[in-house]
Amino acid sequence: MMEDISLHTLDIVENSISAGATLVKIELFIDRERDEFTLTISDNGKGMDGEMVKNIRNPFFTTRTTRKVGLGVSFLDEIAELTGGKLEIASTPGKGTVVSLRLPFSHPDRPPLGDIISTLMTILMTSIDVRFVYRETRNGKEWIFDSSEIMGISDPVFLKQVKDMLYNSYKEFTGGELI
Amino acid sequence: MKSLEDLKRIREQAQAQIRMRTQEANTKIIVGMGTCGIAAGARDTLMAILDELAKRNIQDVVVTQTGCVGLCEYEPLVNVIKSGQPKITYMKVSPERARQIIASHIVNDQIMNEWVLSTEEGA
Repeated sequence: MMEDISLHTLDIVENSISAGATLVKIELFIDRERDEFTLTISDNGKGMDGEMVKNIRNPFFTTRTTRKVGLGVSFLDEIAELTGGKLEIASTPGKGTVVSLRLPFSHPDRPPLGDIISTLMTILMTSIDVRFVYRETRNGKEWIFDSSEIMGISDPVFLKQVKDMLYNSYKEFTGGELI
Repeated sequence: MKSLEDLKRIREQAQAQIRMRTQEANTKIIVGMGTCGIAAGARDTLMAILDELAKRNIQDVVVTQTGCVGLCEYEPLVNVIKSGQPKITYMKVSPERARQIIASHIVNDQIMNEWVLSTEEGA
């Protein structure tokens, strides 16, 4: 099972990439005072029609042909239900999809964020033709990573340097606070 | 945030040694990144692969991904394709297994037979 938000983020972004997206935006907005934890992932992939958007929350729905059961988005739906949050999916065929998960920050069943840098590195390494932007706003402070500066490079030695740099930069941003 | 500048700097420094994907890499490692792979720990496996390749200063390996191939119970799945050799699919690749696959298979051409799920000629 996937126990944190960073893994769900990776899973949803993989959907975007499967849908042919060349640009994926990941936004995480956290505000303790407003008790808000909102994850929004938008892409310019091929999008879905209304029928498909309706079906996508159903755990037995999938676009794959190799296995009959789909799970990704239904996990998010479950988290939303469990915490009194909300999952919204808007999609336009030919334009793209926006998945937005809004959760109460302080709810005990709200999954922890987890290792978001490993998720970003996974996307960077395995989908090197896709530009993605991660923007986190945490209590008024902002941290942004835009892959456009470094996409297209597969050299592991270089990518490891990027990973170390991102870890340090992100740690400076969060002050090591785990949420 | 400073990191954009830092990224540019790292990129410039690395430019001489960087291999773009358009260049032919000798070896390809493909990690299953469907929902099933991610839930089984594929992200940590991938991070271990990155660490191990970088530690050994291996630059001509391309790491990429595939979706669910219907073998969810064997995830995380990792394929290794070396030029001129059959495609080897490893099963249940934990970070520890991944590190050993790099050391044995990638570096020393010794296939880790006990973890092989399938071998595909002419891949």
